[in-house]
Amino acid sequence: MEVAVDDIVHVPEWAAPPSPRARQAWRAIVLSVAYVAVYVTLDRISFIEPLHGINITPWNPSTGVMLALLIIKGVRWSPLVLIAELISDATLSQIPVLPAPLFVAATVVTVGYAGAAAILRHVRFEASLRRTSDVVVLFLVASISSCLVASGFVATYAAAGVVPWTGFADAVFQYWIGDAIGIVVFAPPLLMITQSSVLPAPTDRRRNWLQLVEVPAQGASVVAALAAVFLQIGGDHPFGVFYVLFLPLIWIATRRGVVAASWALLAIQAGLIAGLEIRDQWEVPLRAFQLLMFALAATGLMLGAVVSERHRLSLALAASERRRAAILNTARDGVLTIDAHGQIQSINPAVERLFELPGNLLIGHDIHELVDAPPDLLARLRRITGAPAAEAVCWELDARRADGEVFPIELSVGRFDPPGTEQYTLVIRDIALRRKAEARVRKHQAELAHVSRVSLAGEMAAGLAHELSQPLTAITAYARGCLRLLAGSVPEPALLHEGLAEVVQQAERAGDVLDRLREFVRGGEYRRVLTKVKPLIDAAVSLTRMDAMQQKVEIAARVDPGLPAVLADRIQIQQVLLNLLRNAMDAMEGTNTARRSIAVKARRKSKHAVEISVADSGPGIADEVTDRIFEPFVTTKPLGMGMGLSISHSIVESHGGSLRMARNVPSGAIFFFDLPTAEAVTSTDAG
Amino acid sequence: MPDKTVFVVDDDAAVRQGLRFMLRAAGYSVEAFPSARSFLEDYDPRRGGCLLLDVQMPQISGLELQQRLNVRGWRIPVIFITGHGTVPLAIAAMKAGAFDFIEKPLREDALLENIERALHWNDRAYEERLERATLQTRAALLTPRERDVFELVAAGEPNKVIARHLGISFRTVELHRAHIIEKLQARSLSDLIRMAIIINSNPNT
Repeated sequence: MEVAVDDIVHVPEWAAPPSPRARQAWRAIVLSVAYVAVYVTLDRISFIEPLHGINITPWNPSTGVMLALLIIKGVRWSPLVLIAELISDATLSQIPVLPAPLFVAATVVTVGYAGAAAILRHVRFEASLRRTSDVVVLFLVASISSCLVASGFVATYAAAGVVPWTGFADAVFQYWIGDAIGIVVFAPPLLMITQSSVLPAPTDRRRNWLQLVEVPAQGASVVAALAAVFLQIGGDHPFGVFYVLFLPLIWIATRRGVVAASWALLAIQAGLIAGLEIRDQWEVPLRAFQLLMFALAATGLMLGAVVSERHRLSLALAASERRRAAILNTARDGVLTIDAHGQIQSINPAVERLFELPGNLLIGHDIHELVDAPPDLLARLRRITGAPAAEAVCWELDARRADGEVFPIELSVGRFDPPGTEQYTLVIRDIALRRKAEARVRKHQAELAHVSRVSLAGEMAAGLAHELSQPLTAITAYARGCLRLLAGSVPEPALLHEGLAEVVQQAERAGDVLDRLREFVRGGEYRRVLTKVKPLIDAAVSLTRMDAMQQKVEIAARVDPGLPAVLADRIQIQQVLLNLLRNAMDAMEGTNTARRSIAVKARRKSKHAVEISVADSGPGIADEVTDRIFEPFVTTKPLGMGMGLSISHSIVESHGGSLRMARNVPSGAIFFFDLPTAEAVTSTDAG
Repeated sequence: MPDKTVFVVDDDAAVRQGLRFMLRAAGYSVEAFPSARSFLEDYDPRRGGCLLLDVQMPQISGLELQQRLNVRGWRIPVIFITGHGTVPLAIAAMKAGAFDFIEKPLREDALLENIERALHWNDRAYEERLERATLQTRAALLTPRERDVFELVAAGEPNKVIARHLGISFRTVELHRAHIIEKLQARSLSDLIRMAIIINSNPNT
């Protein structure tokens, strides 16, 4: 199916969505206009009891809006704040004011609160007021900045002659209390609704029906408290029952946290103003009420913040507990904690599965009932985990299931000390499968080694035939000689005895050769025993003697005296030696080296290892093969399979060592490997 | 009166002593040596006898010992004892003038028969083979230039012609000739010519 070019729809330019930049600009304009409108309107509404005919009033909610804007949007919005302030002051003024003091005063206000906003944006203050410290910081900054602004504002008008210096302190106090109240009551709700992550109310979600009743009841309690204040229940002093307002606020803050508390404060403030406006026959100035209001706000917000913070921490704790439980339940390894006496304190489900026991039969029991740990396990734990650079300690031990089945485990240990106690965490991993896999690999390797040994024996047929034909020749010769002596006329018992003794000895020698051969090609079971190094080397050298003679190679074996016994599979190590010896001879075959020699050496390398080396005087191994010489099917021989070194390498690795190669001087190659001594074995066990 | 001693050279003590035991029981006088070197040091060529020699030995092998005997002109019949899988060595030994070879494990009758023949040899074919092998061993010592000179000498050319033919001086030809005579242990010109004929004759006839 073909698509006509005309089918492609071209979006006209005008239909394109506005660019993000343009949208941002629009938003800024809308916000600016809205801000100025709200600011001027609020200032007008709150223009109550002004002093000296200018904007010195005991209630300035507009200041809260201003500070909220500066905190949220940043101090670069200060020019807008200045404009709104200028408009507001100029229009509200009941007396003619010169432009100069008007401008200076508005600048003082703007700079003062921009500074406050800048400070709040730079200290660790969160506008969501989620922490008690946020509330404290807000109150401090609000009090200090409004005090400074009030002083600057009133001083400016005093200098301009609008405010008499005698009324300075009074005016500053009125301005200060108005701004401070404006900030602590109006800014928090504004700040919190702009925070995307609105806190969940600390009420239990499962009891929604209770909320349905509680929220209206709380609202009603606020109204009732306000009514009590203005109906003067309980006395004729206007402040007589003001404290009643604390009750609904405490209820709301305790139950619903800082957000609800801030809205309740807003409602109470609005109710107070409204009530005073209605009942203006009282001779009590508003600012006296505002001082009480400030205390109310401090109490409500602080209490709300504490409740919110606690709720938040308990949620975080629950989440972390769920996460921990999820991890422990998912883990296939058994995780348990024990106390300083080895008693099990806690377990995860995997422990129950591992030991096939329910948790109640495990908790409180001794760890030694489950694990064949050494009796001084706890002392060891204390010592090891107490070390400054304590890493996770790991042991391989046996464990016992409920039905008595023993299985191998890997035990990792850590320590944590809750206050006043001493506890250890143990992680138990069932390593039965891993052990089986290891055994399988070992069996495989042993089988492979066996196959290669049989083929090696085939290659050595000539040498073996020689080894056998020597004693057989001698036997024939002695036996024939004896026969002749018997046939002779003169009996010579001494000679006969000598001949027959030799026959026996040589027959035994032949038997030894056969034994060695049979042992060498025997089946693939893997058997490590403590064995001496010298007989190992001698046996391997003797098996290659014939070949060496044919190729005119001198083999010198030097075993250091006093070498400790090594833990090794004798046959496999002989095989390695034989491989290395044959490789060395093959390497020297056809070379014109004046002296063809192989040196086999054994020396004590450390307390835990004996090093055996086979060095030849051949041409050495070409650089391009050295890196891959131990890989299978890599060979330098024209007819080689490339299995010998690879198998030798795996044999040496199964003995815990590695087969290495180096250049000999002046020419040739040296191969080394280590065998573990008896001491190496015992020290591992002890570890 | 030539010696009837059987000399045994074998590095394996058991085999060496076993052979000595058996041959003594069979009535021979036996002297056994663990190495070629000790035999060369001890043996007097005037004694005759026969040599039972292991092909394979460390340091100086049986074949090398045979060559040294050839170079020295010690004409003791050599019976090689060869192991399994060393037939190529046995053939080389025969070409180099061995009396015979027998394989291990040894069969007594074959061995004794061989020894008997070797001690009383008057076999013309063997004589010739030994002579040729001896001369070939010695001729192998000649340098290529000496070999050229030897061929021309054997063809009956006088020194002057040889010098011209090879583009070398008369004096040099004389020097080469002296070396050839020394290396081949020739007694006269006719001896030299005879040697050339033997060396160049087909060894398989």
